[in-house]
Amino acid sequence: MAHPLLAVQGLYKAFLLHLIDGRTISPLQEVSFVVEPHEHFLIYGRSGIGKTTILKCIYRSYLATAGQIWFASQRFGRIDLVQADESAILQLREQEIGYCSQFLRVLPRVSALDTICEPLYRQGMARDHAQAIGRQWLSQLGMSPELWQASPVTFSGGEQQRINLGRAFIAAPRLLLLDEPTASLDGETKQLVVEMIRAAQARGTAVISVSHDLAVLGPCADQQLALL
Amino acid sequence: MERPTDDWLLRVEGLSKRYGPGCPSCSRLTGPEAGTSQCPRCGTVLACVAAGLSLRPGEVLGIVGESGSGKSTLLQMLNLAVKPDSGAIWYAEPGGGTPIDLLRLNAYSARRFRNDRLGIVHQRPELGLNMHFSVGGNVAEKLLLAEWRHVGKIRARTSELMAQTELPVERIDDAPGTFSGGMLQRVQIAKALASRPALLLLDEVTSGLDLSVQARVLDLIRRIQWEEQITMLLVSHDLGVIRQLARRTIVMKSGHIVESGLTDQIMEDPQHPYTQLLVSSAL
Amino acid sequence: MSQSDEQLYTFGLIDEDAKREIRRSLLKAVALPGHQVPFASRDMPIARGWGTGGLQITLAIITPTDTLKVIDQGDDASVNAVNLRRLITRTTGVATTVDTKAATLIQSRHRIPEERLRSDQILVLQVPMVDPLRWVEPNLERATVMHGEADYARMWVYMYESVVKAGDLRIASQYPVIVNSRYMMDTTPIPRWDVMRLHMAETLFLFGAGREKRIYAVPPYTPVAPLEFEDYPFRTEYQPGQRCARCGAEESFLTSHFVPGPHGGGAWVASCSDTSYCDQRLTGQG
Repeated sequence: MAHPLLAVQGLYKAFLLHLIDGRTISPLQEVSFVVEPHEHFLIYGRSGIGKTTILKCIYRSYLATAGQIWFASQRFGRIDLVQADESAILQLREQEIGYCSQFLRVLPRVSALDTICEPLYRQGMARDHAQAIGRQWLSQLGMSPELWQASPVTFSGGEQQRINLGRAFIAAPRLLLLDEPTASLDGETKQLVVEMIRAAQARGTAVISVSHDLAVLGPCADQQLALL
Repeated sequence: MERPTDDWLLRVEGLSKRYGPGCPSCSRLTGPEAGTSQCPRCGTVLACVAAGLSLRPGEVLGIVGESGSGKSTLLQMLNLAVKPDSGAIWYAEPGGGTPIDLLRLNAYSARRFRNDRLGIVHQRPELGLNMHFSVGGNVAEKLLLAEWRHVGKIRARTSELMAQTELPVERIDDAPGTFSGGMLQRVQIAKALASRPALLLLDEVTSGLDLSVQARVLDLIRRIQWEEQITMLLVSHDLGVIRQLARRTIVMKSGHIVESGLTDQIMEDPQHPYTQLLVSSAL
Repeated sequence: MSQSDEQLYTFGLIDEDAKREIRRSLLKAVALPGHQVPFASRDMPIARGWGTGGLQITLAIITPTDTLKVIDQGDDASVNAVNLRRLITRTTGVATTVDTKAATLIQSRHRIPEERLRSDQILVLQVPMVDPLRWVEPNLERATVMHGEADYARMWVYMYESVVKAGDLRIASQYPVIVNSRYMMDTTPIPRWDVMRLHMAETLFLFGAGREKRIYAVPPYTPVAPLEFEDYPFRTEYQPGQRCARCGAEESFLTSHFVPGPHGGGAWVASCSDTSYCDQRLTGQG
């Protein structure tokens, strides 16, 4: 039997804060779930409940305190993202797992085009080819061409979020982690996000999104996990 | 002794360096918990204790820590300029070949290796440059050591390197003393790149520069890393600099590596008390 | 000089222990061509800097059957050459000559004679400054390490800068060479003209620096390569059309003298630096 793309088992995260008298805080209670390929998996719940913590543990920005996260990697086979060595994680981030944070964090002095193309550059794609794809995405995201050479630092929140999403989708990873993808977006752009998720699924990407916006993302989710 | 490469360029094992006679209490009275690398009993400095790391080809590894944490000692040992008391530095030439322990090379081969395969950029330009020679002569030194014996070709390559590092090529024959701090870092980078090294060591390269100049030097380093896919080891006390360039980071304190991990994990989920302090102290 | 005066000295003035020490250093120097070997450098009855290094080597290796020639700037009759010759002959009693071909031991400053030297001859050169690296590394200890590791990049930068600044390798004398593909050596103040005479020569060349207390050597058949660039090759001082005003030689190293005219004024005249060579050409023996 084929393994699921992602199997989270007994994931638990606690932070030991040495600077505050060694206090421990645990934003996330034990959680387990399974994500199949092509699936859109929605995690929802109020803020502070540990939705983002799950994504960050999968992406290894956080070190899980307990539990396993089994990922069916093309390159490494079945691999526990909690234990995998750093270089494996870096390769997975380049080739198989994408992450879109809640806020775009980019370097000033880098153009919107280069920002959105960066994941492709990292995959070793030739610059010209990558930029052709990048331009397509920028116009699809409704970014006017005069902005393409400007730094996203100067953009509005909505524009920045579009660049942020474009960057995550462009690499067509096998697993895409989206943190509040529709926050700070207008209704029209929210629909655009839903379409992007659907298109990504059609291309073979499984999406895990984290949101409190059940109204927009709920209808397009194959599975939902409520954190209470 | 042969080692499996597992696709690494450099693998450091148990690298230690101490300055002083040492005493039985040294290791107990120094380290991150004691908050010092100097033994209060005998005065010995345990500058670097059992450091281990590995570098994959093309990756940028950051080393962060306060002054006296041992990060520069570690870098100088990797530059084969400071001889460790113990440990090994395995080097595997990209594309195969038997890994060699750089610490077993004789002085001649070590210098040759340093010239051909390593490049270093120091915080203070006068450590990396000969202020009596012209800028072109300084860059040419690496080419001359690699037995380039054609002045025309040397100047062509030097000009190319100066252009790549955004230096005014027409000033090739000027003395380094007439260049600004940011430009001198570029000259050092040009020199370091001259031999197309496998590993570039960067020691606090932007410390002491104006903020705008700092940003441009970092942009340059990022661009070069991008274009040449060069492996880099970046030492800085500034997490901001590390975050811009390095995808993996090592945190040092009082001669010890206290934590290592993906840079975003170090920033977002630091484990060691010192790292938590460091991250919370970022401006 | 009476018989009793001569008894005050051993053969060759310096004592046998000193000679033995110098000979040991010489053997080491021959074994490591181009490598600077330290030696004690005794006080001599002439001032340091006036050829005491060469003199000590000569006195350490001279034998009663040797025929000695002493030259200074190619000239057998200059004051320094005459003084040194007198000192050596008075303390050894060896025969002297000005004829390069007749000499078995030649002490020289600044020149290698024009006539090709043979394997049965030894040329001793007086060295004012030893280390070619002094231009780029004034610290002797560090320079010694550089020699030890054959770390000559900085000297090459110096040569590069010389080309860039002057458009050519503007080093008149003390031209640096690599001996036996290993050590960088200063060629003492011999002109570039003579540098290639060291290369694969039949003769043993010994270099002594009394002030700096160093001995080095280029043994016979040792490759000696001047530092040069492919596009700026090593060149001698040769000028097309040059000739000696006395003997008419076109293939010799010339020096110029100011010859005053009979009614004031005067002119610069070029003639062979090697006087014995010049004289022999004039008398038709050469």
